Amino acid sequence: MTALLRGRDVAGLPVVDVSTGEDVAEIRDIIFDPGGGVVGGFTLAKRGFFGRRMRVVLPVAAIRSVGTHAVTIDSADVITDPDVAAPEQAVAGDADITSDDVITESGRTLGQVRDVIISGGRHPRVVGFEIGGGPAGDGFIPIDTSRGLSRSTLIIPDSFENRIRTDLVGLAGDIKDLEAGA
Amino acid sequence: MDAWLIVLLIVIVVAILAAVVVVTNRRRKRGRLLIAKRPASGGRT
Amino acid sequence: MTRLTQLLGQPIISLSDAERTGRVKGVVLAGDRVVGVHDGNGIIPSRAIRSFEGDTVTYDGGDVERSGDADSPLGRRVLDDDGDELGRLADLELDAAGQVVTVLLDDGRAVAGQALRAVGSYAVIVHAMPDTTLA
Repeated sequence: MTALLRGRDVAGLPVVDVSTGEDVAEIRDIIFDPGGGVVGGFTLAKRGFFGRRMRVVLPVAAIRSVGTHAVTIDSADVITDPDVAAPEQAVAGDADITSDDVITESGRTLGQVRDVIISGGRHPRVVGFEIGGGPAGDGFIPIDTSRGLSRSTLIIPDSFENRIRTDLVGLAGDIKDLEAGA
Repeated sequence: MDAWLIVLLIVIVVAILAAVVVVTNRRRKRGRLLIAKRPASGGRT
Repeated sequence: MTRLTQLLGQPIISLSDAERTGRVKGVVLAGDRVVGVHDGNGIIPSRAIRSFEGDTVTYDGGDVERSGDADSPLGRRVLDDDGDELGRLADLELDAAGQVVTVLLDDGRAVAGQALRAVGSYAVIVHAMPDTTLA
C-alpha cells in the first residue's frame, strides 16, 4: 500500500530530478481541483531557508512520484518548460481551504479543515482530510469526491460523521471499506 | 558609556524579536492547501 | 574488485612522466559507472585510467580534460526514484573498469549496481524496486 502523507509533510519536500540526483526546488503549496478534490499540482519555492517562491505551478502529471522524502521528476526541464508548468495565475487569490468549515449534507458542522491527506506514489491523490475544532473532535475523514469543496466549505455525506478516525491507520481502513463498497 | 550599552542591547533585542516575527510568518505562508481556478476546459460542478 | 572507500585517498600517478599529481578526492559518476576521478586539481577521465583495482591510480597522461569538480558521495542520502529514502551511502563496490557492481547502504543492505541511476550533490538515486515496501 502506498504511503498516506499529510499535506503539511509534503510541503517543504525537495523536488529531486532523478536523472541527476539534484534537488532543483521544494514544494510550497498543494493545489486541488475544486470539483473532485484531486491534487492538481504544486507551487514551488527555491531550496533553502530563504528560498523565494518560483513563478510556476508544477502539474501532477509532470511529476514522477510523491514519496515520503522527496517528490521526484524525470528531468528538471519540466519546471522550465512553458507547456508543462503554467503561471501562478492558475490559483485564485485567497484560495486556501485550511479552516474551511466541514458540514454534513444535513447541515451539521463538524469542525474545520486542518490538513489534507494524500496517498503518495506514482498516482498521488487526495484520500481524506484532517478536521478539528468541532463537536466531533480532531480526526481524519475520507474524501467523497461527489460532494462539494469550495474556498469556504467542505460538504461531506451524513454517514461520514461515523467515519472520523483518530489515526491514519484507521483512515486507511475506512478508505479500503469505501473502495470495497461498504 | 552606559547609555550606549543600553541602546545597543535594546537594538539587539528588537532585532531578535523582528527576526522571530518574520520567521514565524514565513513558516505559516508555506504549506497552504489551495483551490485552483476552474480549468478552461472544465464545466461547472 | 575494489571499493570506493579504498579508492578515496589513493595516490594518482601519471604514466607519461611518473609524476604524482595528487590523491583521489572525489569521483564523477554517469549512471552506474565511474567516469572520472578528482585529484585535487581537476578531473581525470576514466578512459585514461589503466585500472581501478590497484592501490595506486595510474593514468595515461598527455591531453586529459582537467576542468570540473567532484566530491565523495559517501554518507549521502540514497533515494529511490519514487521519492522514498533507503538510507545513507556506506560504500560502492567497483570493478576494474569503474563499473558499480554493488551499492552498500548504512544499514548493511546491498543494492545491485545496475539499479543505480544517478549520483548528485543532494542524493544518490536508485531505481525503485517492486518488493521494497515502505510504510
